Amino acid sequence: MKIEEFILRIEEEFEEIEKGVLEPQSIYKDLIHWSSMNSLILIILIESEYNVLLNDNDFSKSSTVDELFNLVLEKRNSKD
Amino acid sequence: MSEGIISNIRINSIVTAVPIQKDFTSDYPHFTKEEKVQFENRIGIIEKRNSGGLLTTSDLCFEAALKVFELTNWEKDEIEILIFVSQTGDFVLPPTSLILQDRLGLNTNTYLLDLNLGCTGWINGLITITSIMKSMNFKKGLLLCGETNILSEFKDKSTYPLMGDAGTASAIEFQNLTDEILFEYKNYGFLYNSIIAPNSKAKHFSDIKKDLSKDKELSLKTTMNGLEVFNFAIEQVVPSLKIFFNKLAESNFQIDYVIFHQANKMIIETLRKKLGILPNRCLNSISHFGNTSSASIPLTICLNNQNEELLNKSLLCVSFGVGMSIANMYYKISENLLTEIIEVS
Repeated sequence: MKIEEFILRIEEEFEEIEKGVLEPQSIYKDLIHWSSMNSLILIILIESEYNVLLNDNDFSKSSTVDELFNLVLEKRNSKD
Repeated sequence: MSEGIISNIRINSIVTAVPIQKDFTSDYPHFTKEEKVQFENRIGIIEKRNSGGLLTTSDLCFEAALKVFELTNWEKDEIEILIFVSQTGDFVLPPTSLILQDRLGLNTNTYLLDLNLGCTGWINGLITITSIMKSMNFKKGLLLCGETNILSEFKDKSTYPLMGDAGTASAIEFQNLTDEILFEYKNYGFLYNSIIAPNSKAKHFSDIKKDLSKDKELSLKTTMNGLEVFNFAIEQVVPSLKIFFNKLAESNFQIDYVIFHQANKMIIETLRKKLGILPNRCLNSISHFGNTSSASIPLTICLNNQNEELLNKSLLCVSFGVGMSIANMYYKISENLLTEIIEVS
C-alpha cells in the first residue's frame, strides 16, 4: 500500500478537495472542513478500503496525511 | 447473542403517526451549503417530520393507537396490556403508559409498562410484550413506541438535523396461530457513554451535590459519538448478524427483506455491503423521515407496505444503538397486516 494511492482515494472521496493539492505533509483537517460528518466519511473510506477501524483517539493523534497513513498501516499490520 | 422464539403471536396492525410539519435539511441554518449537500447525499436525509415541540411522543402514539382501533375493529375493553417505549415520555413520573390508558379509555385491568429504550425499542418492546402476553395468557395488546426530537440541541449538527418525530402503535395478538417471532439480542453497558444525555436525570443532581463548583443546567440534550456508533456497527452488529443469517439459513428460513434501524445512510449502506445484501432487499425510510429512534423499523414497515407489498413477506429487522444495544428479529408478516401512516397537526 502506497501513500500516493491513499491520497488519491481521499481526493476522490472529498469533492471539495482540489485534485493534486493533497500531499503527505498536508494537514488534512485544514483541507477538509473538519466536522463529525467528515470524520465519519473518512473512517468509512478507510474501513472499506483498508479494513482498518479508526477511533476518535486516532484522529486526535494524527494531523498530517502522512501520520494518518502510518496509523492505518500500523493498525493493519497489527491485525495480520 | 442470546436468542428466543415466541410462537402463536401475530402483529395485526402497525400505524405510524408523524407531525404534518416538515423540516428540510436545506433549511437548517447551521449547515454550510456544502454541508447541506453532503448531509442529503451521505447521511441520506432530505426532510423529516418535526412538530417543533408542539406534539409529544405520547400525542403521536395516541393518534396512532386510535387508528389501530379503527383498522382492526378491536374494542378498547379487549386490550389487556399496553407498553409505551420511548426516551421522551411526558413526565419523569408518572409513567406515560398510564396517561395513555386514560386518554385511550382503556379499562383499569390493563397491564401497563413504560420502557426507557431508544434505537432497539421496538424489538425489545416486542420481546417484552409477547413474553408477558404469553405468560399471562393475554389475547390482545398494544405496543406504543416513538420519539420526538427534544433531546438534541438545535445547533448540534450531528444530532439535531438527524432526528425525526414519529409515534407508532402495533397491535399484538396471541392465539392459536402458526406465526412466530425469532429474537436475538446483546447488550454492551460498558459503552453507555457513546450516546448519552449527561445532565438529564438523577445523576445530574448527585453530580452537583458532589461538586458544588459545577454549575450545570438540568438538560435533555444528548451527545452522540458518531465514530463509536459506526465502529460498534462494524465490530458488533456485523458479526452477530452473520451468525443469525447462518442460523436462519440452516433452518431454511428465507429472508425477503432486511430492515436496518435507520441510523444514517452511511451506516446502513456499510452494513448492507458487508453482509452482501442487495440494495433492493433493503427497506428504508431515512430520506423522508430521518432517524426516528425506536419508531424507525415500524415506520419503515408502514412506508413500504402502502400497497400491501409486504404481506406474507419474511423480514429480518436489525436494531442497534443507545445502550449500546443490539436487538434483531425475524418475522413473516401475516397475510392481513393492516398498516397506515397518518399525519397529525
